[in-house]
Amino acid sequence: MRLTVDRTALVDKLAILARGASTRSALPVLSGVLLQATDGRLDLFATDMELSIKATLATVVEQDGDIVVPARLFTDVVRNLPSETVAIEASESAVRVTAGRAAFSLNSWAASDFPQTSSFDMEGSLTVGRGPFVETLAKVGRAASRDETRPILTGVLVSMGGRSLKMVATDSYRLAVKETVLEAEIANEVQAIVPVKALTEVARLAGTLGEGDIDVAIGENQALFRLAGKDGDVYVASRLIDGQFPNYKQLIPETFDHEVTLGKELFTAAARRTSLLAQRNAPLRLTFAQGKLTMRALTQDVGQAEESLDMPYEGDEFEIGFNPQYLIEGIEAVDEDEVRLRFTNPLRPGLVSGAEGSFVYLIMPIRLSG
Amino acid sequence: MFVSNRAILHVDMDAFFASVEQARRPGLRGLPVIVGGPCGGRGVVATCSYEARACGVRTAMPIGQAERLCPQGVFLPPDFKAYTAVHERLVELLGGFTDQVEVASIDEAYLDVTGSRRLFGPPRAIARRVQEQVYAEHGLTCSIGIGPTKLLAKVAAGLNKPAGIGELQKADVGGRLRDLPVGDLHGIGPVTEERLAALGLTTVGMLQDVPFAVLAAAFGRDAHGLRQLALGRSLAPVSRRRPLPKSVGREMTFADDTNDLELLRGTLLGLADRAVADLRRHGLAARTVALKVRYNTFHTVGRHRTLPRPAAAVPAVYRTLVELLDDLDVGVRWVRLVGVHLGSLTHDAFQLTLDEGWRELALGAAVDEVRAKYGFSSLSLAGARGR
Repeated sequence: MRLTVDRTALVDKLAILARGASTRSALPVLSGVLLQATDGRLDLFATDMELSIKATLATVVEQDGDIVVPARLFTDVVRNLPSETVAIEASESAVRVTAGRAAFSLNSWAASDFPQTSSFDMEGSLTVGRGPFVETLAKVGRAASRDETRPILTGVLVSMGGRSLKMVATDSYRLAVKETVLEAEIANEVQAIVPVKALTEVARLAGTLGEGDIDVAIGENQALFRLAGKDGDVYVASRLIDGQFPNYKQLIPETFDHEVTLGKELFTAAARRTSLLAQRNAPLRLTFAQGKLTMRALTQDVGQAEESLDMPYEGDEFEIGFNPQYLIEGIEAVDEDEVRLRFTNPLRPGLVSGAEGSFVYLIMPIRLSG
Repeated sequence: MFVSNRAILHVDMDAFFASVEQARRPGLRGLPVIVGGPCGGRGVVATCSYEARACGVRTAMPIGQAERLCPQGVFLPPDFKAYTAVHERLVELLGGFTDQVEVASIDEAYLDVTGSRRLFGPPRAIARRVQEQVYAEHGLTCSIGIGPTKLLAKVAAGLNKPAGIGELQKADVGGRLRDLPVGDLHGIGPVTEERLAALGLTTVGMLQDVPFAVLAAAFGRDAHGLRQLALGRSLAPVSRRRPLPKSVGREMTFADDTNDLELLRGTLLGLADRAVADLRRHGLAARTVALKVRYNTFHTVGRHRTLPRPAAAVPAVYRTLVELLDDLDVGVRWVRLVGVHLGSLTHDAFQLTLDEGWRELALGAAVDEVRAKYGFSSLSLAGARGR
């Protein structure tokens, strides 16, 4: 392998791959980036076996070939090179990088040692705008679980079809559902449970690469995303999560006993203040009484806080407790100035939504003691 | 320095179990009554009346020894149901004097009467009224200590048993308190007392005066707490919360040893049901589930697991028990006893879950209600075995 490449362009691509390479894996080669030179193009791959990223870069290739370079060190070296024109030459177990009067030789791995987990074949792909994708994920992503003991909940249920993009996530404490209307119609329908990590990565790349589309191909056990970049495409491949996603429609009650509407800014500001005293998993307590909502938080040995808001509530006084972070995240995800809260009783789920129904956020209370 | 200007009463029932027996059977008054058991067996004395104490009988003494010391004694098996009933009515009675009542045990409670003085007069007057009312309604006597902290109130009660009222003030910390044996301080048990004695520290005064370095060398990080105790500086407030039990549990010995997995699982389900009912009765949830298995060889094994979140419903507990059971070779070996213990108890608020969590809770509450009315066995889980 022998090629010449632009330093800045290469640094950009390596930055994109940085999240893909695995830093602590039993397989040392996973801490590397696979460089593959063919047809006047340099392909770069990184994977942690679950999530794979591929970036392409058009460049001058004098001789095809491939090699796996240590990601961190290679990136640092390239970033620090003294000139923009970089020559890369690979032997069997080392890569030589030269620019200006600087020369580096890095021990490397053979390409055959690198596990290719995806063919990056975009057959049957659909297209969604980056904007709708990022927005939709932003509403539900935080509700996905980070707890690997229940893998299914670390995924987001993604459905696309017609002019709809829908994502659902739950960590069993809350459930977020967001449906976004797309500008262009999608020909066929797909549904898959995609790890939230992969979707977050795609959204991050969409942010880095600017406006445009995302091509999505859902295969048997893999989801593929392609984003066009200025001097080459970026791909993200992720395994899909196997299993049955919770029947979320069944979890959302059809009727509630109490309903209130509150100003988003006012409520979240007060909730944040009060929650300063809800430490160590202590709940934020909401007491609804005639025309008034009182928030309280108490942390043993630390102190307590209380604040009340005027609000149009009629009905029996009742108290309900929530994890403040869960509640605030749900309310902030509503795109409107007014947020609807619906409850039945302190042991049943509450529903956060806007006036229109494209986003709903179901949240379980914290059972209050005495 | 004290920051407490509070008035706290420590109400300590005198020879509680024995007194309840004497109150409901007046024929026993004046006789040495010893509650404990079983008689002649391996049991110990739970409580004995002051008449029995005169013979040298003490709490926690083996029954056999008590029988030798006090052959004329009236030995009774404990009737916890009756004691608990009286206890509950006493707690209610105390609640008439202040809403700040901390139930410390079945026969002890702390009352913060700081805010009750305008209603009922000075603490000593309140204490007298408590004693009168307890005697009038239950025929029982109690000793009451008054102090600015729970610690001093408790010591004061201990010094005035039975049926007395005593008071310890801030000033007494440098006075009367100094002459008391260290064991009179709540929080210094027999083991600590012995370790202190080894250092030559037998009175509270000595514990107050000993150079801190000496204490620290012997007790490490506990040294500070000991010194604070000696200085009467425990400022823990009267808390309406009941102290948490450390664990709740149920065990069952099979009539015949078994290796029948169905029977074992069914028994565990029944035990889990009862243990969880205990949990809910206390308003608690458990974080750890422990399984105990005694084989017919009397070899006993225990396995436990921490749940991802506290549970107060049978399914989560039972699922865990079955997993723990599957890790043992119970199908092969014969089992004599199984037990279920729920630990890391919390009555802190806990996060509910969407997946059936609230349904389980609602179901549990409904089941508890039916059982409270018609008895525990009025409802049982399909598949549960035993009693």
